[in-house]
Amino acid sequence: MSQKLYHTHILPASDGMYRYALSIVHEPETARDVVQDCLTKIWTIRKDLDKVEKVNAWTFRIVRNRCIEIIRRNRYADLDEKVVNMRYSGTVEEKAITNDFMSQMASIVETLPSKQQEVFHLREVEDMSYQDIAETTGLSESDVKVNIHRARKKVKEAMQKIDAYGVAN
Amino acid sequence: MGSQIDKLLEKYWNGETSLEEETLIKEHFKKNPALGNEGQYFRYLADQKKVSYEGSTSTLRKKTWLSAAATITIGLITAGLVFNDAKKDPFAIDDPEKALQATKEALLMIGSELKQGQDHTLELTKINKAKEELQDDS
Repeated sequence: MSQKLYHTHILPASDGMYRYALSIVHEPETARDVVQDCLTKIWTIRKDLDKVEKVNAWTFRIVRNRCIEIIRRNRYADLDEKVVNMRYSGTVEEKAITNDFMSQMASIVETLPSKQQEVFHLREVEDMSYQDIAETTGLSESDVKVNIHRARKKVKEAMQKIDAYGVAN
Repeated sequence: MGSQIDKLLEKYWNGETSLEEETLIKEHFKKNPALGNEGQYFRYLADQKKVSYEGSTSTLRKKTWLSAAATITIGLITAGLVFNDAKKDPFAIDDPEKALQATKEALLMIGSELKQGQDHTLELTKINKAKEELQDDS
């Protein structure tokens, strides 16, 4: 039964796991490693899979933990908002020069504080419920809602700037 | 329909929409691709969803195949060049007259060396004979 769960719930989630990992580590190779590690880890504990209540949120939490482990090990930076913002401030300026809306959108999302970026991704791309996002990130549901609202507000403001001046910043 | 979407969008930007309502908005922009920023924004989100783990690994596989193919090609070219060079004699002379002259010179050189060697052998024979005679006398 548990092995069946692995095939019906875990493997089909690998695309979402990859996108989520990529949204945190920003490196395709590292994101691939994260997914590979998590799939292996889940396979080794597949016997207990039927004890997991929310498999999707649980899987994404494993991905998140692995990403944080790798970030800390590689000493990229902590998931601290300030550091993340500093890390991408240069890139945004470079990318904002281009008139391509899609790359500007990517830049806008990258400038969001890490928490907002994370919940934004889980909601907008992975279509997760507030409850599942809360379980994945360890935030409360109300914090998730607030962060999503703030993220959308910033995205909208940036889009209005693109409309008015052609650039997000 | 237009006003319904506008209302949903207002709710969306205020962070008040449910997952079902958000699906309705996304479906709307999928069916009616708008040129405005909002339309492009939802297209951007849809594009993000296209990123896949399998796709990323197949790109990796493609890259691996490409680098393997490049290595084999370089290897074959190098082997071909080395083989061609090995077949060519670095001392080969294409002009037959020059070749004949070179052969004559080589044979003369060998001849003179042989003669010198023969002279030395004769001298050694004489010395040996003298040595034997002295030994017999004593």
